[in-house]
Amino acid sequence: MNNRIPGVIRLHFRDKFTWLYLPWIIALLNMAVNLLVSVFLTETMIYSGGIATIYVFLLVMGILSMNQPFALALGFGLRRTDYYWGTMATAVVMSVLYAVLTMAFGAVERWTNYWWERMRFFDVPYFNDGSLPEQFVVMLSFMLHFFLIGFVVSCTYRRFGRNGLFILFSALMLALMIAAYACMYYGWWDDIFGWLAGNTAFETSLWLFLPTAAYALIAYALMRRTTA
Amino acid sequence: MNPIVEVQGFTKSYRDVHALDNVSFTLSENKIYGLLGRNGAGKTTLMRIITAQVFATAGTVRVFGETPYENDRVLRRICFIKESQKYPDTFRIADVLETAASVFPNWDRELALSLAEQFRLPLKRKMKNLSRGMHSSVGIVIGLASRAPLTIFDEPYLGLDAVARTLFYDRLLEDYAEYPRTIVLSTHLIDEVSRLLEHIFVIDGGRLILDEDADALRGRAFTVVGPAARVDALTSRMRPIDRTMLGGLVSATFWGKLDADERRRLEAEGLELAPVSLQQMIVRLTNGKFDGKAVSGE
Repeated sequence: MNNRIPGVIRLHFRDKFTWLYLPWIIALLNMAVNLLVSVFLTETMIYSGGIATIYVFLLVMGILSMNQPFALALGFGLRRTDYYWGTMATAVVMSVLYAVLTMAFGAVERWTNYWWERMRFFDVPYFNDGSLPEQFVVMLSFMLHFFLIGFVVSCTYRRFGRNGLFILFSALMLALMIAAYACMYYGWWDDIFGWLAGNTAFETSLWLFLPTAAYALIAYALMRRTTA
Repeated sequence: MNPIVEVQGFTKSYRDVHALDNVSFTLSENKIYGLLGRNGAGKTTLMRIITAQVFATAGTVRVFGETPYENDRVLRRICFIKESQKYPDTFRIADVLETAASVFPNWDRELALSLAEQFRLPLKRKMKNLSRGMHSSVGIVIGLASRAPLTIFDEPYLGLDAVARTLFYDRLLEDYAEYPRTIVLSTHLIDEVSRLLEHIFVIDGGRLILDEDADALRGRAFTVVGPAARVDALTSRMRPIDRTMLGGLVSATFWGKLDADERRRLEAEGLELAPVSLQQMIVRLTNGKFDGKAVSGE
């Protein structure tokens, strides 16, 4: 009965350039610069990992998608709930696409023997250690994580304004500082780093779904009361 | 007549400022309403609460018999065109129209394209590069082509020239005749829209100070035009609420209703009876709170 969610997805994909081309233009430009540098460093291989830009890009898209498209959707009488699910669906679809593309570029990278032993850009040690499905899950998890960080921050801004963000980040800094001191005092750092080092990227990415889901819940609660 | 919108005791406060103060009214099916008031009177806030875009501090609203908040059955039957609507920077006019097409169930694509052509909208131009007038025209195209059972235009013609405004009124009446719906025109320009309006609300300082049928309103006063001496003979008996001179002619407006006898007697005296402008009436009824002058631009 409800066909408004596809309307929201279409609303996002109206901006094809930003969603489809822009991240890859950024990534490939970044790669060109890295390759140029590697020409002068003939002796060593560069572990660039420049594909990290794609995660930053998702963070930015998470922030932006609660801004102008949301104002338009609300203005056109779409429900906040439908906008939420439509936006989440868009983020998932795009993350899947980006993950597949990253893996495809990674395959080319391995096939050319890391661009003739110059650098590793798409295919990085540890992150790309598992099987192909595992690598896919790792990327998807990190991409959604970054998108939702941006989204939940933007929702906080929409709901509580500038002061809301100040308070949120101040509280967050304080909490992190206290946690860091507690870890130091009780000697938990070794355990934490030990646990992280013992995990494969795949295991860590599975755990990462937990905070991602928490952001998603908080964002939903916040945006239900936003105004435009 | 089915009530389309029922508002009970709307109050909206921002700290100690009352944007709206205990506003109540009802909108019926298939009528054209005028929501008049100066800039900052609370018109936009009122419309935004009805469409669940902002929340009232107190009061209730029912639209199509239901609460509009997060209610798709209600929201999909409303088209609210607001002057302050923001569009994504990357969107061209064509993108906005395509989005509208996928959102409004009664969207008429042909009407939208023909209107866009009449308003001379460059479909490939980005929204952020449009002039104020073109921006308004896009809103008008959406408002008309969406054919929503409740269509609200909030200051729809900022920056539009006279030709484009007339085009808007004509196309609105044309399409309204063919597809009746409830239309709310919120504006501070009374004179131009007065011929369209069937019912009038005036809002000032967040309070609803007038809620009356347009014809009844017009009938509450009359204007007499004639040679100065004759009209002045009349004004010595009755106090006019307005008197203007035009060469040797004087036009005077009086409160009250004329019956057929009085009408004949005045006409026998060589005086002419003219309709009262809604603007004049409203200025009077609101004790000059509404001066009806175009505060253009912003």
